[in-house]
Amino acid sequence: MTVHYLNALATILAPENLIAMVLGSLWGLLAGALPGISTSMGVVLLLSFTYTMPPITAFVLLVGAYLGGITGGSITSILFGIPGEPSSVPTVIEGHSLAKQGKASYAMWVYLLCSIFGGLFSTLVMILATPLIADFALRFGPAEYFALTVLGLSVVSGLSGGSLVKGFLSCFFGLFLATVGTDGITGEERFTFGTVTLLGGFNFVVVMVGLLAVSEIFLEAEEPFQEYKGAVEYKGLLGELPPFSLFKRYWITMIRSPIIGTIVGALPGAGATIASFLAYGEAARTARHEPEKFGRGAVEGLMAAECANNASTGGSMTILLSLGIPGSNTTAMLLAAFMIHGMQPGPLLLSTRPDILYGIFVAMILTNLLLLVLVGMSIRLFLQLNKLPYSIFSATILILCVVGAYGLNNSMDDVLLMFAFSIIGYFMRKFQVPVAPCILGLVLGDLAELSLRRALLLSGGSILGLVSSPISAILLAGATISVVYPLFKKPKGIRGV
Amino acid sequence: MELRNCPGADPWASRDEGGPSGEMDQKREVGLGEGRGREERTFSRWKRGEVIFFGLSSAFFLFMSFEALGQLGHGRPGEMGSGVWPLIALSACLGLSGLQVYLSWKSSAKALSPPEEVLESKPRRKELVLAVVVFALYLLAIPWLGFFLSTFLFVPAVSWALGERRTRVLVLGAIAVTGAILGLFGWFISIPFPKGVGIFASLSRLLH
Repeated sequence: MTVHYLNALATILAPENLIAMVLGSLWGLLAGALPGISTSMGVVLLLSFTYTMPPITAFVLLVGAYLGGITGGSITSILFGIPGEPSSVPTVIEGHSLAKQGKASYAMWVYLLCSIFGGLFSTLVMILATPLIADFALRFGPAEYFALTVLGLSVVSGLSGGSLVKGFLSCFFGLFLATVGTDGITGEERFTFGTVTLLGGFNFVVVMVGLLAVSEIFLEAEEPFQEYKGAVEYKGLLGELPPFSLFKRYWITMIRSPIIGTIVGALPGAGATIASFLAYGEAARTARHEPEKFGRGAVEGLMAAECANNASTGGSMTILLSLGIPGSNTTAMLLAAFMIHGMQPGPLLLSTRPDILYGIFVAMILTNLLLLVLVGMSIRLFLQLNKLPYSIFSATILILCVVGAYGLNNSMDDVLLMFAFSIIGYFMRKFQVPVAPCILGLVLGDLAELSLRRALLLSGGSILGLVSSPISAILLAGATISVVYPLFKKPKGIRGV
Repeated sequence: MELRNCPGADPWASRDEGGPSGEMDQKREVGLGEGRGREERTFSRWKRGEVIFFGLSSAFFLFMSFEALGQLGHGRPGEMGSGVWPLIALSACLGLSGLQVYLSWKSSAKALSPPEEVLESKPRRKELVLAVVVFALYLLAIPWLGFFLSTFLFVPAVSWALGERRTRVLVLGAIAVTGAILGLFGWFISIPFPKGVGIFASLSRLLH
């Protein structure tokens, strides 16, 4: 096995592969950071360039874009409050709050170090425990998926701030929004009122950008005119790096979150969103140091979300490589890349193309380290954006939101929907209704409903079928405890966003 | 100060929230009567708004619940109709928003402690309305004027609405932001933005 790794390392260190890694990572960072281009779209755009490449170079390029995209998505979340992916919502809540307090650089370093740690952790787990995780993921049927989504939704109690009623209202509103459009089982139209625009349902990005980013600008428009508080002087690398004691202080979160990320990332369809929300919810629920800061720039929340977010990449890649099942949109693109190059990922890959398998393992480790250098070097550059005059900064954010919504389908309908959600978001936040649970409900609603309906079909309509397996029973019990516990012991001061 | 320490004498006395309350306390001590009067009015308006907001939400959820009722279907054993899941979500929404109307009304009547954000806010309603209107006009103008011309006009307009009055910032901001957006999204990524109609379409085609 060592020989395989050494061979893979030698291959990856060839100049053409190193160039591919740098280009892929840079493209991924750009795609992740720019509104309107998702990580999966970034990978798709590169896919056509890989036809004529040697397979290993192609995968180094694509893995670079994948990891770069996941890492880059948090840059705009922290600096502008625009979440590129649903998994970035906890990062917006805590990271952007820190940026608004003038700690943008600090937040960026915490995010970067935790992202890379999460990515490396999950890659190592992927290398060591691929067969185990794949076997565990295979045991998930509809009932287990439903239980998992319920567990994911149960973190609402940690996101609700002062009022559980408002938090759950927001979550159920999100679940309702997820039902708009064509029913995935019967094909019936629901709540479309005859409009073509709503047939496909609400896009996550449209709702997220409206509820979080645009409504934030509207709320800030009400505040007295001032320059943006995030504008800070950069004190140099050593002056800005978070101290080691910070990570020591939150070591439980640093260990727990990547584990959640890796395991949940390995479940097809669950991925980074449930992982980052679960890890964030756990951090909020169990916070021993400064729990009152959650929702107002809690560094522990940012660490949890970022560790889990990037750790999900390793989990996702694990089931792709070991079972040939794509766990997310982006890994589906990577599956397509395998097919383009005449390979089939799965149990046979280890025996048929060990060079590719070990090459991808090594490339993922090196890409994570490369991203640390690339983003670390450009943090200063990113921070310059915060020095724009406040009004111009706000105008730029609004335009980026429009571009982000329009770029999804090249349709103004999405932009108008985003505007409608920005008004809803403004009133929700004005009246202290947290918007994060709504986004969580929207993101998980579809999976929850389909899993429930499939599970009921399999059990002939028996509700007991939902708790017939130990995994689903444990997950549902965890969700129940998670919801009931805050009713008796609510951490003081946690504010929902 | 004594007033604030006496439960029941001060409507804010039960507030136990953390956060930057020291500054608020100072503000309240200076001109206690006038400050408290303003806060009470703000809180009263906010509570009324909250009751209306959740009341309207309840009405919306009720309407949608009737829509969902029309889609309750039955098929094979265990098969849920299209409307069942939405109905579960909407029923929960209806119940929770109704409960919130009651809670808001009750807390308003008892003058319970308001969230600190409400106390701290001094809303600039005119600026807000102006910014929203300018943004809405921008979105409506995009299909007619084209994305880049609309953006060029939008940047100074919304900046002005947000309180920016420096001509240099308004002009340079419009040029710089539109240029950056054009370069990045128009030329580099080639997103097919709306080009507008008539002469504006010709102008857009000159740009990208």
